[in-house]
Amino acid sequence: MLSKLTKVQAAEAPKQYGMVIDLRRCIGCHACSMACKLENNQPTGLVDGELETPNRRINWSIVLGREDGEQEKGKYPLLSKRFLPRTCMHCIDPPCTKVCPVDATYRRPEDGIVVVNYDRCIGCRYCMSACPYGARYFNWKKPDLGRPENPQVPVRPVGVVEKCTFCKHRIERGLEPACVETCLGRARIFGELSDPNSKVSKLIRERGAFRLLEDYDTKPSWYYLPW
Amino acid sequence: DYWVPTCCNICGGQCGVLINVVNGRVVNIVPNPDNPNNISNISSDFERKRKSEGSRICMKSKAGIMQLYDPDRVKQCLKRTNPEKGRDVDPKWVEIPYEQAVKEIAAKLKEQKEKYGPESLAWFSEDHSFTHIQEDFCLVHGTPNYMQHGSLCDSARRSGFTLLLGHERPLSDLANTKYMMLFGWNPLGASKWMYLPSILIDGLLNGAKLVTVTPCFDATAAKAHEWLPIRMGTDTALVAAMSNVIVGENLHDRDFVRKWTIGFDKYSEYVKDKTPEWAEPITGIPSETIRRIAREFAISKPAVADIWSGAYMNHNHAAQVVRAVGVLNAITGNIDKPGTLMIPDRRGGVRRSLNVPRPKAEFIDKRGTKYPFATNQGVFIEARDAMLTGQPYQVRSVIIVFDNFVMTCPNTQKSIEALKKMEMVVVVDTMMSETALMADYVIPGTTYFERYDLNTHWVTFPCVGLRQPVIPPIFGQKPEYQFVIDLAQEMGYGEHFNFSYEQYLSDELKRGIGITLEELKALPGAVWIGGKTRYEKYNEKIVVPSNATVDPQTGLIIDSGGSVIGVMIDGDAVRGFNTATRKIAIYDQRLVDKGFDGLPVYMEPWEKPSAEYPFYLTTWRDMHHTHTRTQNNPWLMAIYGENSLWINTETASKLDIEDGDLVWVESRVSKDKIKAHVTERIRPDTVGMYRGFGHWGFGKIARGKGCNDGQFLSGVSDPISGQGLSKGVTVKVYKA
Repeated sequence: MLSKLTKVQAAEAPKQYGMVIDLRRCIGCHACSMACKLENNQPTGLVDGELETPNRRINWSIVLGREDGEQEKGKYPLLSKRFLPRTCMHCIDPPCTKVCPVDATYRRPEDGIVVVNYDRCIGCRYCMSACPYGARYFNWKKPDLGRPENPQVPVRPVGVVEKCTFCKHRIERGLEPACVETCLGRARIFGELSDPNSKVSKLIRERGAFRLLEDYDTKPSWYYLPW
Repeated sequence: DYWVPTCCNICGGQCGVLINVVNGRVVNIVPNPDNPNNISNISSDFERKRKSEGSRICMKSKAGIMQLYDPDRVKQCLKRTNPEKGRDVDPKWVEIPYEQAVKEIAAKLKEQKEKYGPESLAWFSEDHSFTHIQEDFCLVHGTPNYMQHGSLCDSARRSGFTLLLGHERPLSDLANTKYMMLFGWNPLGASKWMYLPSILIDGLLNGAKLVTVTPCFDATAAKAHEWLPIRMGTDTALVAAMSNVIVGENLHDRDFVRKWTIGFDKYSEYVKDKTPEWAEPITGIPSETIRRIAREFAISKPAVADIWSGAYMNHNHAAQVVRAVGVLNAITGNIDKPGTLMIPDRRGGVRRSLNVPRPKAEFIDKRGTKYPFATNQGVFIEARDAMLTGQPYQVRSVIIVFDNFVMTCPNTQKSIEALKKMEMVVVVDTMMSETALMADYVIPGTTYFERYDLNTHWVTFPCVGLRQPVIPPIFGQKPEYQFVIDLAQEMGYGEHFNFSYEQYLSDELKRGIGITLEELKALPGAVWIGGKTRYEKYNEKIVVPSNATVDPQTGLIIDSGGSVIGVMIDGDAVRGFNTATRKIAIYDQRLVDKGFDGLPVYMEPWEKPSAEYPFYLTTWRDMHHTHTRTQNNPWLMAIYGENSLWINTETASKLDIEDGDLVWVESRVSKDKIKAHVTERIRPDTVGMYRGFGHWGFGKIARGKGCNDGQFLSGVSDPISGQGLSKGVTVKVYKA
């Protein structure tokens, strides 16, 4: 049963969504992270009125390199600093889906989005170990939203894993993911990798792009255009 | 389930947002597609980009939902029962009904008006929200002492540019320039309007060179081609040396200078010996770099040099620093053209003219006298000091609305002492701020989700955006402007305050742009746009009335009423600039008349390192936080939760300080502890911290995180503009 599903998942989906990040445009501003948090009912993350420890916080979308001490090179006064946004890579050959004992997480055949079925998830977190990008998060406790929920997105219960959904609830309505909509530098471009004439496909061809951890052969659908 | 277009106010940028309300509660915030503030400051770029790219809002705006639903918000009117006031003193609040608060405050004000005169009331507020009605109250009450926060913000820029080219808020067309030289400005970090990062990136990708002049390697420096780590307070020396090269090598725009400026000859004479070699030991920037940048700036067409707080908030002649940078644009002809420093065409709501006598007493903040070129927003520091000294007369009551005076007015200790001296302190705020903790009465305020404002936007073409309540105030509290109206009525000023605030705003809109509030609400995005960006407006021809006169010496065109309406340039009657000479005042007689330099000369900064205090202390703002307002927001604090003291690696090793060590920072007026962050990203003679931390009020998340920068400053104001200086004080640093 499991092997049959794996074969289907590894096959080419009819449509493959992907994200292109133009690193020349990214200013590391975290608008994407906050947009995702707000749109997708991520918990506020307080324990007894204090922020919980960083490794327990749920932030599907993060930006590396922006904060003090990160990604800084050189000696005064010749310095450089780089920013790198990172979310779930929605891999075409995802390592996370292979280890789920209950098929709670899978790659959607129709568009390549890797999703979690919160009702099936038993919270074993094998998928979190399997993901080399650290893109999955666990609800260690009942999530405290701290504000009214967005009714378009389910609120997850304690004990399940969650991650980026490419805002499938917005894509279904013809909108872009929330992070893409508000990117200050217009560094995030979302589209169909499977369409050679789409903006994402053209950018990858024209500018050249790299993916993270290419040699793990996860085949991420996230491409970065170099600085 | 509905969406309301309105304007954000988690910072002063006022970008457009759309708020999703479901079952009476805010659930989502997305960019408003119709608001130019989010897209571009040039009208043609706005029209093009709104279709090709859409709109955007920042991390704070998204996290704004947590400002609305902050559990630590002030919900009820509070009255102090502990007569003792101080930083760690429990006010022992009791909740009182709103009506009682209004009655008691009015009663006290009436008593003090009788006993001491109405001028014994001082009123402080922020500088854009519901300021007109607060001004009206003060006018009717009879006190001249209404201060808005501009002197903690951009008074020097306003005054400097008003003096130089007759407009208080020129804006850079970064998208279309070929060379951007930014003095003390971090548009990619302290991004006040969402078009800023967008137009800067557009400019870069269009091939513009970006040079940033600032002591710290900030987010803008990370994208810059060159970072010039300038010694604090020496920007005027850099400008003088650049001008030395530009004028000396004949790279200036001779035609523009001849037609449109006054005082170029004096300026040329002044910069003649201000060589890059002269400037190098002053600024710390190599002479060859200065020479090269000067040539690049002059030759690149178009180019723009702009300046914000970082470069002038550390200099006791702050307005001159602004003029200096403005002059760079003037001598190269980069004024009001594509890709240059643009002069906006702003229109907005117009405040009513109240037919009441002007207050008789003098200003406690000495705007117009001691500070001859201060804006009408006044001088916070001088007002605060007057509260302490009782000169020229003793202020007895103070009302502070939407301002955290204690932490943001330089010299925290003095601000606390000043408030202690008051017989009555009334604070209107959403949070129990450090200022509210010193109050006798705290009135719960509104977040931007819960009130009206009009926003005359930060673009180069006429644009007005509406802020409107998306839900009623969640605690049933009255909006700030309603408190003003109710207080006015209780004071017996009802004849002047007999309206709803919606009517008041509608009248302002009709006066200013000819539409009503309801009509504004109905426009796309609740944004009114009244024209396109126009260029070289100074060169627009004017019709000279037959009874006007032309002064043969100055070329000024004066109408029959005595007003200057234009100037003759090369035989044409044109508009010119909104200055006394209708030209750009590189040399300004008005400054000379008041005892200042007519040219934007180099002056040594107000404080220089000494043996005892060897480092400049700088502060900055960044994307995550708005001054002292957002440190109780868990989403923002999770990303940046505590400020640290940036110390250069070399300096730190000399002081035996390692990254993460607790250190003392000590100025002449205060000392406090903070964690050290050892980094290459700052000058060796400078230390710095992110502003806004070190709270003891607000709430659990904010309290005790980081260090309050306001305490280290002694409280100095620029004598020209009244600008409060919040950077550049000197300190010593040692391990704790």
